Amino acid sequence: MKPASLKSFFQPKKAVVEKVVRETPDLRSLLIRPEGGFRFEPGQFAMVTAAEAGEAPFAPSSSPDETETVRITAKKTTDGIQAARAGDFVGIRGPYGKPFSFAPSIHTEMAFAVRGIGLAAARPFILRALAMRESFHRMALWTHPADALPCAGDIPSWKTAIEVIHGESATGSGRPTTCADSLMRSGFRPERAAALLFCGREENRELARALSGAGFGPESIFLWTETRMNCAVGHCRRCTLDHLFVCREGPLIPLAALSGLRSFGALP
Amino acid sequence: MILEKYYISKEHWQNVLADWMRKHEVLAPVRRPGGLFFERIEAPRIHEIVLDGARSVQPLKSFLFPPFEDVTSDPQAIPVSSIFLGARSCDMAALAVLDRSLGSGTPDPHHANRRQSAAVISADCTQPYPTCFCTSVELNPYAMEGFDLNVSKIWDGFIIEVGSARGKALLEGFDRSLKPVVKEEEEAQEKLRREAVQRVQRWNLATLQSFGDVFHHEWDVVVLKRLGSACVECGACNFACPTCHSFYLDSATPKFLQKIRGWDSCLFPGYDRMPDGESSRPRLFERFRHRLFCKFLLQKENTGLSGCTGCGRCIDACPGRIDMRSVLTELAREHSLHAA
Repeated sequence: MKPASLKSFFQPKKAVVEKVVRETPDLRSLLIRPEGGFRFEPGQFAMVTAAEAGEAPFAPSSSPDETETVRITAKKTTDGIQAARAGDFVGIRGPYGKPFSFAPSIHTEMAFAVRGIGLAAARPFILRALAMRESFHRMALWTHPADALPCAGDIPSWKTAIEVIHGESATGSGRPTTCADSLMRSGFRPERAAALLFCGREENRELARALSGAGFGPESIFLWTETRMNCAVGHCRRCTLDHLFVCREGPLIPLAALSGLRSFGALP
Repeated sequence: MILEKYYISKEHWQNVLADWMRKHEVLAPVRRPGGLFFERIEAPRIHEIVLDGARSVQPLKSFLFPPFEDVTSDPQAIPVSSIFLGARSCDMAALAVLDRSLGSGTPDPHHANRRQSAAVISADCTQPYPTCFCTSVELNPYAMEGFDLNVSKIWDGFIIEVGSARGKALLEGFDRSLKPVVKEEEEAQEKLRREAVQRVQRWNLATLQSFGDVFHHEWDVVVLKRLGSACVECGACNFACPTCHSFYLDSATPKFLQKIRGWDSCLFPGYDRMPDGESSRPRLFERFRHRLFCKFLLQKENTGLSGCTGCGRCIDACPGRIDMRSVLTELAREHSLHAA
């Protein structure tokens, strides 16, 4: 009857908030320094606890190659995290979720579609892709001109490496369908490209449909999928879409794994 | 798998129990208003233990996966060598579901430690309740596997079946009390088991024989809303269920970075609500449907085991008197999968 030699994985590490950056009127980033550092891969996320405010999942907006500090970007709705000040302590546990496999032999072209805070989640992917830029034939970032983006200061420096496409506000929409059009116009080849979508639940779905229509396969369209998470290890079942644990299989999930799920439904 | 099989008289059995109680914490069902409840039993109360009859009111997860627990505490502080005596077949099936669910990926250390420090001795169910339907989910009212020992009460003694090395170790030193099982005793065990099966089947003459097919149809929302209209979203079905293991990690705790895990219910409206107010299942009928899917389809896809063990605790617990069997049978009827 020897007990298992297992340690609790729910215990967060203590981290100090080094800096708070006001990104946009409703977005703030915290630069935190966890005791012992924090390693993650693009696609993974952390559970961050602010004193008394509770715990919430955040995909770091910092580079996966930075292991001493982690940058997390929070919306107003996650007010407990937003209220943190420099010098405060927070907790961090993880990383959780599925690391994304860049596959330059299959996907030589990478497209990132982001709206607003989506850029925070996309940033580790973009930074990693930039670090292996020579592996890709083409990279593009689609954004919407009306959006206030976090970490937007990066974009000018990326411009030589990434084609930055702004949604067409002149047409009055800037809807995701125009993103698919823009990618096609700029010469993306659906059979060689991967599209990573960080545009929010509904727009991701619309965009996935538009990209499917343009010839992207379901294995090449990846949707940043946000559901309510709590344990982050696939035990509490809260984040599930049918049988799929978003905390384990996601948050970035290929359309092929989502389509057919009752909880995901048909594309619009 | 059954490794060995013995007969033991009541007197000798009580000596065995008394010995176990000196060495281990023994939890066993005793009669209380409303049914059988697991309690810690010490030697002077041996006679209160009820090893025949039906399942307990509270599920075994109450002990192995308690309603509230500090999961940032040291999981190794848990081990108390314990024996769960008198688990029924539906309890055994539920333990297997929890083992697979909480043991998947990174195993939950608190559950794993509790589970590993506990021996489980099942007992045949002889008087299933009208709400029991184990035979409709491919189980029997007696356990066939998963136990360390299984006991079947016959006449004035028990047949003991050994299911594991740990079970065998529990019987060490009692060789002289254990007799080989004779044909008449085996026949008596089989007769009681057959009668229990028939009893469950009698309670379920109107129940759909197999629940699987109904989940491959798109359910009529009007029908679903009507069937779930008595649900008051109290979560009693989740809490009474031996396999529901959804939980909430509470961080608003006295100590910084402490996490208290508490049972949660997928029927609560805020269960999967995001900070922006979005929810995958904002309407009650969606949550009601999800629970049925989770029990009969999704958990099976995740673990290979049915999330429903047919124990009927959810039916007994529901203040709206919602009976999962009738709900599924009615839905099957709607889709002409089941004759009226």
